[in-house]
Amino acid sequence: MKEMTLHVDHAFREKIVSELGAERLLRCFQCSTCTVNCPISEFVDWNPRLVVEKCLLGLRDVLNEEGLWLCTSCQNCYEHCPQDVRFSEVILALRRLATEEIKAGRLKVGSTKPVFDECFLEMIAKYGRQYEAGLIRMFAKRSGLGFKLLLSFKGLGIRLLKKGKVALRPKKIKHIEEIRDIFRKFGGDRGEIGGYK
Amino acid sequence: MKKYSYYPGCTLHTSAKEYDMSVRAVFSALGVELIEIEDWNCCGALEVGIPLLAYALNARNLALAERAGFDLVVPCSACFYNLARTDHALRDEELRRRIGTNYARRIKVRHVLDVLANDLLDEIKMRVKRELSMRVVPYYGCLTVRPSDFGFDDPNHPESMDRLLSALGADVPKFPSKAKCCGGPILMTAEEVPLKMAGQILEEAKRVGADAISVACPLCHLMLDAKQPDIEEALGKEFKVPILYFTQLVGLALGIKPRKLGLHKNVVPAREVVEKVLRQARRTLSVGRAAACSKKRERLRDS
Repeated sequence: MKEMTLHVDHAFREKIVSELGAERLLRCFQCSTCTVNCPISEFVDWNPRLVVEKCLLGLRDVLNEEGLWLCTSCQNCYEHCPQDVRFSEVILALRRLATEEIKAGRLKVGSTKPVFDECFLEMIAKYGRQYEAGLIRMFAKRSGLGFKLLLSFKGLGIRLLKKGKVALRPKKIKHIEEIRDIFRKFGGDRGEIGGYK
Repeated sequence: MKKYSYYPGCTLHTSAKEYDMSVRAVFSALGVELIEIEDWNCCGALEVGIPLLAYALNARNLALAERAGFDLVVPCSACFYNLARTDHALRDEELRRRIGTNYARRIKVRHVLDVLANDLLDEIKMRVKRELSMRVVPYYGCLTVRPSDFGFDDPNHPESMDRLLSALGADVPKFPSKAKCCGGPILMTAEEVPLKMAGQILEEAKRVGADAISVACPLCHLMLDAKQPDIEEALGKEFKVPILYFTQLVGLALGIKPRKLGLHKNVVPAREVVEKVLRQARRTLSVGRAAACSKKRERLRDS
């Protein structure tokens, strides 16, 4: 058997641990409770324990994990972890690091989730509340899915429309400047996306 | 009069209108006032992965509610998660300063299920007009009960909705999937996975012979109700299980008109199960009336 040497990338490991929410990563003793309780790993090839291991070894490849974008934030891993690692928060940290890489053009991912989340944030910054119809339009455009996306959600859209459960116009809150202010302070570079006019 | 502040959240004005209608109708029937907080903003749902941004957005809402002075009632489980999580995190003085909020944690954040099942259960029991003669399974989903850091029920085996519905006369069987995930948060970006996840929940409801599933979250409702035809198509099965907000069921038991509870707005028709409850109620009523009449006759005869 050929021996393999793995070099721990301490810098990258430190980078993950320094993210808000990922501070408890080093407590993990690899028991797999997170994996056992993850509803997603039942359907796709996704192993939370392995993801933590990759983080502990500082493997940059962890940002390529497709499951990162499939997490539903169900909080089962958070709830059951005997070491209180708070894996659901670690995922958010990894998503932030991945999004940075995507924006810098160093990483490509198959999932459209990063685009969706950006659109979602932009809607809040624009109106202070969510505006679903606008969100779907923006997401269809920016994800490049375009008409294909609209087509696959046609049934749902029509059902909701029939029941009068779709807002056709956005509702902007009165003090939108307070929301813009929050985005400028805490939204990273999002404070100025599209000027949020 | 008892008063609460109310944070409806974005979906209660759109895809979850019937939840908003039924929450308001139930509270008004109980004589409890709900005051919608002024100019609230979106909680960020599960799409804001930046902790400080999420805290700041929610701290604004919390501060608005605190100014009104009453505990904050939240019907949407994602909103509840965000608001309660922020409230919990803001115990930290340093964090409060960092996001620059004047919120001082003088109010509590409460899920509407918590309030109805724990604060107002006696008031509800006193006012029951119709028994819920149906078999209904309670579905809590994820964020109604997890994480337990700031929860009000068991994170794996919650009981509050079970207790509430049983008190209204419903037959509530064991439902092991009650706190499973429906997959809703990734519906727009990985549709095939949530279709399977929600499908399992519907299948189990069918297996235990449920007339309906009772939910406490707009996203769970969207997944199980409005997406049900798509789930049926994807799995090649037929379910036709009505998905009702638990507040619609409470309202029905309190004798509120189905239309006022938005029962016409559910995508999978709820008509059959609603009629079953109304029919049974009429029967009980007429039996009751007949009994009262015969008693009266007896009294007249005796005198």
